Amino acid sequence: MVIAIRKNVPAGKDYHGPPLPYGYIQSLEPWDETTLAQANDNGSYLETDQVERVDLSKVTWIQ
Amino acid sequence: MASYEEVDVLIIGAGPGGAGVAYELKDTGAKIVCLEQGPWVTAPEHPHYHDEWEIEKQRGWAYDPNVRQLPEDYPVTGTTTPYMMNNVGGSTVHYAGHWPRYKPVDFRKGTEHGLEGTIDWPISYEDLAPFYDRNDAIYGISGLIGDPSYPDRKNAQRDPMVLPGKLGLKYAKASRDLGWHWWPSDNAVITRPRENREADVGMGNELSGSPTGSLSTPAHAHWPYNVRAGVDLRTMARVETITADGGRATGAVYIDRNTGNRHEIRAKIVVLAANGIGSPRMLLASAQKGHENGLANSNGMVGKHLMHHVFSFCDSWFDEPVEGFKGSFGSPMYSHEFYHTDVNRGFVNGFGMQVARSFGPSYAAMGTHTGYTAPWGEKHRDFFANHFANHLMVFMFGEDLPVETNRVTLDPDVTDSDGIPAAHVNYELHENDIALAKYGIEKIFEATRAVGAVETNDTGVLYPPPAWHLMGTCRMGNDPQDSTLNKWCQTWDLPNLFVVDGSTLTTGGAVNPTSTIGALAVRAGEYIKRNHDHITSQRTTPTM
Repeated sequence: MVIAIRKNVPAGKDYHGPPLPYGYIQSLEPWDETTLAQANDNGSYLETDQVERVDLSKVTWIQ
Repeated sequence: MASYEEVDVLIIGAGPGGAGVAYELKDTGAKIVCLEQGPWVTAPEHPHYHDEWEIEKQRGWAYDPNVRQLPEDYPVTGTTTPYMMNNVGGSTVHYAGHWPRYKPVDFRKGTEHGLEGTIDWPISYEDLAPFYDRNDAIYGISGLIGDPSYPDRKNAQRDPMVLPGKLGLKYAKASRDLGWHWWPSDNAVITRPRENREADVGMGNELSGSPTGSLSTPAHAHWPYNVRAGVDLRTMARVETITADGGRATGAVYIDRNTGNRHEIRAKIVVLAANGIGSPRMLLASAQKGHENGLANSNGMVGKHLMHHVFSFCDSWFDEPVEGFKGSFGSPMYSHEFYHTDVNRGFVNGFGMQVARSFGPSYAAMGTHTGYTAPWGEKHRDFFANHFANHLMVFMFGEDLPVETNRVTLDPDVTDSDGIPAAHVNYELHENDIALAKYGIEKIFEATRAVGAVETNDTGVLYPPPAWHLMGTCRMGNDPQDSTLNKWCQTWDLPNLFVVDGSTLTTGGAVNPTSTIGALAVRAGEYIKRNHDHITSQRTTPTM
């Protein structure tokens, strides 16, 4: 089955059956610096003392 | 009972809670015994080297004890598919190892909305942050510091990130193109070797544990050191009753599962760490004179406010290789773009989008995560060729409300093999959780279609939910009337009885809970270490 997948399934050419002992570390793409640099572009958090009551009148299921 | 033995600290359960407390106490000279009803699973028992590795996930390595039915398991009845392992390391021996922390807002959900049974934690993120760092160093965590959706974590130790592969890069691109938050995940997977542990080789299948130790679990990260330091770990030791006298716990009676003999241990301090279903079960099963409703349950709170997280599985397929069979669990990356409450969406709380790896060909043929099964007959080959390894799965992973009627009780009719009542779970989805999940499914497919998904399928809002996370059933709080534990994990009723596991969590956040359970264990362990003599003389549990 493994041979058939490697030969016939386009996305399965590297599949080798049981996960160990080989794993896939040699054929996994790494993060690149350009992509990682863009990860910082979005995201924020609330500080503990910034947490306050939200407007519950907008919560649909409470209506 | 012919005799008993006496110890300083008795720990019940060898998972993250019990292991973490023992690790903190191991060098104090205290006499510590840990009782674990299951075995210490050895490397050859894992399926990773075998051709039938995928089939094992459905039988001997099934995550649900009701399916697995090993001798150390106990039944869990009701509307549930609990994720639970009874062995050294607890359910981490079987977890994906995704390792996010709670955010500051998660500790203040009572302030933010207070809906249903929601209360504030008695501690803040800032209180727990140093213990997160210490816990991470013990386990061994890979990842990247700097996520702008969290406070600074400059003191957290990290191995280099696991490699994303095509799969991780694809969803990162989708998030980036939409202007959403995303970040490479922290994972309880080591990428550099440690003592008696090998670095990860991108194997996948951590959901059946790790025979090499690359998955960071207490079985690898704690117990070898605990035992070396003199902690007495007793496997195959099933606790039948936690004993008490007046206002103090006195120890436990356990059954040696090898011999069937009962033994009593008396302890100055008892730490219960049997998970979010097992701990309330044990407290309720320990009803006795003076504690007729169960131990630590004078206010009737034990077992209530069960949380699992609300889940939907969202599969997408592409017309190019994604190669999800490659790479490490837990997760290459996640997005917390919709983590915070925005009431303009019509609900409170939020969700994470967690990218998951796939498995092998059996998983693809049997329908991946959403039951999209390959047809039998002449169409099978084409279906398989178009779907295997072209697949990307994202968990819609939302915060569920801690509803009082979602609870663990004792089953009146079913017992385990030693006659101890089974746990019974009642869990219903709340309207808020359903609305949240539906919104999340839309957003996930918005992302995958933006990067070329040609086919999608989802589970809808899963019910019963995959009960991977067992939380809230002995929760911490500020008030003895609406919680079971104080800020140090001491039960309000018995100051020398601690509960340290998923049941301790006041709210669930929208993240995997194990890093927080571990941090709480370090914190509770340090508290016991610094205050041992004081705790043994306390008659009431401190409120501050």
